[in-house]
Amino acid sequence: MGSKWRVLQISALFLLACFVGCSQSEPESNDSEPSLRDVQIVFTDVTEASGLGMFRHETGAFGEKWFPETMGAGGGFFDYNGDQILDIVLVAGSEFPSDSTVEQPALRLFQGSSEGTFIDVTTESGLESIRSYAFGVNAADYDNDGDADLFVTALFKNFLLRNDQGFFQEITEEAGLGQYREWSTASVFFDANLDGWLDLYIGNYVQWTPEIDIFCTRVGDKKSYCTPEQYEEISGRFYVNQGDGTFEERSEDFSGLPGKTLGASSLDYNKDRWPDLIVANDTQNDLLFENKGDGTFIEKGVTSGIAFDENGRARAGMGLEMGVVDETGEETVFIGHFSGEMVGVYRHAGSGIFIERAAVSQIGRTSLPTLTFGMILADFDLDSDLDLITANGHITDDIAEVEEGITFKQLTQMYINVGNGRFSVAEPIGVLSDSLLGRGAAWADYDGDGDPDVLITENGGPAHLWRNDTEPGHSLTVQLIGTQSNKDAIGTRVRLKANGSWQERYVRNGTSYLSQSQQWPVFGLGMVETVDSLEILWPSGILNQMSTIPAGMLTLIEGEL
Amino acid sequence: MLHYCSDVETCWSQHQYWMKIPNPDALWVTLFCLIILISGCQQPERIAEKQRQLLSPTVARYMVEAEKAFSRGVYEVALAYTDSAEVHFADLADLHFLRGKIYTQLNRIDVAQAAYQVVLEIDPYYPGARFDMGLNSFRRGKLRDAVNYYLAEESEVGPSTALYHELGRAYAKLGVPDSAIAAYEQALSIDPEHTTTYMWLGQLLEETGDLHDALEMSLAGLNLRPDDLDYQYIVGTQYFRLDSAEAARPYLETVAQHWSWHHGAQFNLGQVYMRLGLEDDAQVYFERAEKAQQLQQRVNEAQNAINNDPGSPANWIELGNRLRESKKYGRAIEAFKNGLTIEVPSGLALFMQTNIATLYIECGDYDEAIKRLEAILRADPDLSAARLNLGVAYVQSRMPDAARIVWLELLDREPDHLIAQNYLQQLDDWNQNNNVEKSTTDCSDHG
Repeated sequence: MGSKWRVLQISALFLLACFVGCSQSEPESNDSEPSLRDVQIVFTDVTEASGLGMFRHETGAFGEKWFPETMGAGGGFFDYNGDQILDIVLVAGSEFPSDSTVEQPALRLFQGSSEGTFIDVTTESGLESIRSYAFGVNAADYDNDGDADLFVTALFKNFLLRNDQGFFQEITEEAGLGQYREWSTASVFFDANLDGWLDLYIGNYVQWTPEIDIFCTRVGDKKSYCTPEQYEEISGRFYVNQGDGTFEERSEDFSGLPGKTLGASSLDYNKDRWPDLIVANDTQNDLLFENKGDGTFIEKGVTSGIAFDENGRARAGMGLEMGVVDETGEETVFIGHFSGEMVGVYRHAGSGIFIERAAVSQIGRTSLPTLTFGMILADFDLDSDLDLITANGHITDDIAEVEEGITFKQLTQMYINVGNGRFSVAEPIGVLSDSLLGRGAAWADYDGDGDPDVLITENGGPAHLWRNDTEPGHSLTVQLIGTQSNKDAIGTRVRLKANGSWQERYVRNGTSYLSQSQQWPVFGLGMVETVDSLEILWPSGILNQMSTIPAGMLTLIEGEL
Repeated sequence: MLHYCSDVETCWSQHQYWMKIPNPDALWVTLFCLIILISGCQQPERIAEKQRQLLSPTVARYMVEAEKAFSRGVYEVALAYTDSAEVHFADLADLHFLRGKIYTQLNRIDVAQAAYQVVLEIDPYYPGARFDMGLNSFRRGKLRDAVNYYLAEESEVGPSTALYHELGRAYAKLGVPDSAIAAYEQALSIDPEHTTTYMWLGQLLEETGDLHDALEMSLAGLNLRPDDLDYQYIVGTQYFRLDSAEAARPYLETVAQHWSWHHGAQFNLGQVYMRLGLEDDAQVYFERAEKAQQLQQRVNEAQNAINNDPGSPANWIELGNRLRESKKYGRAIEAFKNGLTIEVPSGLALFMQTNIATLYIECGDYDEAIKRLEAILRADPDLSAARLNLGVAYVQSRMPDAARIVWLELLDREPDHLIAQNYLQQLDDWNQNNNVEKSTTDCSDHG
């Protein structure tokens, strides 16, 4: 009898807890609000059909389990020849030793066609001669000449590749970016001082050479891949674009700060128009550089709440992504972490403070078994909010023997935005049922049908192109061309109102893991065919406003409205 | 099916006949049985129980001494006694069970699991064997194995609060929250005042995003143990995550004040102050958090070294030193004790014993420190560090005359010992002002 009473008592307690929870949940909570569109997101693997099937990333692994082997590589979308059709660049890796004698070029460039297929133009584009153990790739028009240049991060030597009408020239040294032999990873082009020229942040990882490689083990005396705790970090470096094709290093605000960087991007969380910078570090505290309003920075990771997990511990930060994902209009930052650590979800709560809400967002627990590298936010179902895809894969091939529930190859996870800053993980069906050794992730509407498609890269494996074949809806793609601002319009804030609700995008570079997504924003409109109003705040401070815009593609040139 | 006794008193009445045996040797048997009753009483007529009834006084005495040594953390002595018992009674299930516990403490999980397996081969219904194997499986990340052991314990031995709350934890880690919640509810249905279950349930609910429910559970646990700093920390952080910085503040202030090594408390208190607009105060706690984090990193590195090589005394010494540096004195004592279970040269053993005694001083357990330091000096009268610290322990125990004697003895041996000279000079001041600063450190640094 006593036992039964106790059970009832516990049940009553839970019931009470539920009522309290339901009545006092977050103020913006309104789960009953109907979605604009309720469709199942469908991706079709078109890797082979599109012409990417022959690509394989080379880790260089030859049995010694050298640290860099697990970390590559990225890839992404950009328009290298200005034909308005997106092309794909993939970091191909290398064998060791990684010098000019290696057989494989560091990058592979695939030119897109209007049929949605790609052909390898690595040789024709001048990229064949680039030999290096590369990790990341980043496309931006740093010289404002109207075409996208490439910056490639690599082991011991990075590459700035100037695009001269579809042919790339390596100009790293001439541009003033070649003085260090470091292991670089993430890179970000952004106009820190708002002078109209894109500056460059380079994130570095650890001090590693074959000579100082450490023997790490997880099981017995069998060598395993190390984690970065065993190595010294390298701080990031910052270069200011001089506007004459060269850069000047101004790393004072970054030197001495934690390194082991794997993700970085720009944002303007305090909406003062001066771009800030966020950096995700592996086993070191994450960094938030607030722009002081003159292109110099003050680091506020700890005070903003973004540096550590909720117990004050540094996590293994990998790739990152950010965007306005809810009705608050504030940026939410997502950071991929090691298995056993939740994906970090930090929403700006105003006054420069971020609140960690991984659990509340419903992403936290589901992300615990995954080692998340790449992350992309896009409106995959065109229902007017941003969904999240994470590319996952472990670094230890025998991890399943050591940690139950953790696998070497892992599922790519899609978190569907269900409103109010909450997400629901999609069923692992279709392409999402394939376990991959995921690293890079990027999105773009490569086939021009108005919805975001996906590129996932694997470590030591193929790249995967997933065409979005979700039931068609409407969208608006906004192509921005800066004139007073940088040509790519990086740093532009675009707000759109449709069907009574606002959406917002910030044009940024970097994000995800060593990868390059489409920079032009794509807004999902559901079944709505007309946008009520559109606001564009350019980095220059020029504000353009428009109304009654039909769905489709809109090209805007700064100052010509 | 075995049945647990509802309390020790009832079990005792079932075994009181042992007390009637007039032979003094039988007292060892009685004492051993009493220890077994306390640690996991069961009804008689099972194999392990029958074995206890057949114990010779010699074996019973070995087992009592082994249990005592184990409870004091002197694991090498405990193992020696089990070895002695084994010579006389190789198939004694209690002996192998105790070995399982000892080897678990020594982080030698494979050996511990093998010992528990022997227990089950002798007595398939031995209470706690599968449970402990489940705990060890959990420690090694073998979560499914842990669940299976727990379920087998439930099926073969019977339910218990501890069983269900560990089952809940394993399910939670496996990513099966519904099963975890059900297990926690079962634990609470047996013992509605089981605080740990409330806290773990609260943390699970927090992970699933049910912050209000989580806080409700955590507060229920804290109400039962209001002074528990771990619980205060959890409640404080949950209030903060519910955007109630003001409510979180007192809890986190208490924890941060008592546990300077707790980087989570320092960090979250800094966050709370930021939310309250107290940026200068926040900065102080962020800096403390950073320092604590660095210390924790060194502890982690030392622990990793032990995980790779638990048989190295140097690794245990390093861990003990790093824990002491972090002011986790209780765990530092455990580390040095673990190191002493490995065969080390006598000089090194005395060095480690001196460190243990010093840690007892830092914990405020001066009686234990004095006892240990006196024993060390009997073994090696030339150990000046032990003699110096013995004086400190005497002073803290209000025994200044004894302190004076040992420090003078030290100066006889080492006339230039500056610290001893200094302490002696200060001794009169301490006496006059009666201002010996007592340690307020709590060595239950389990947080």
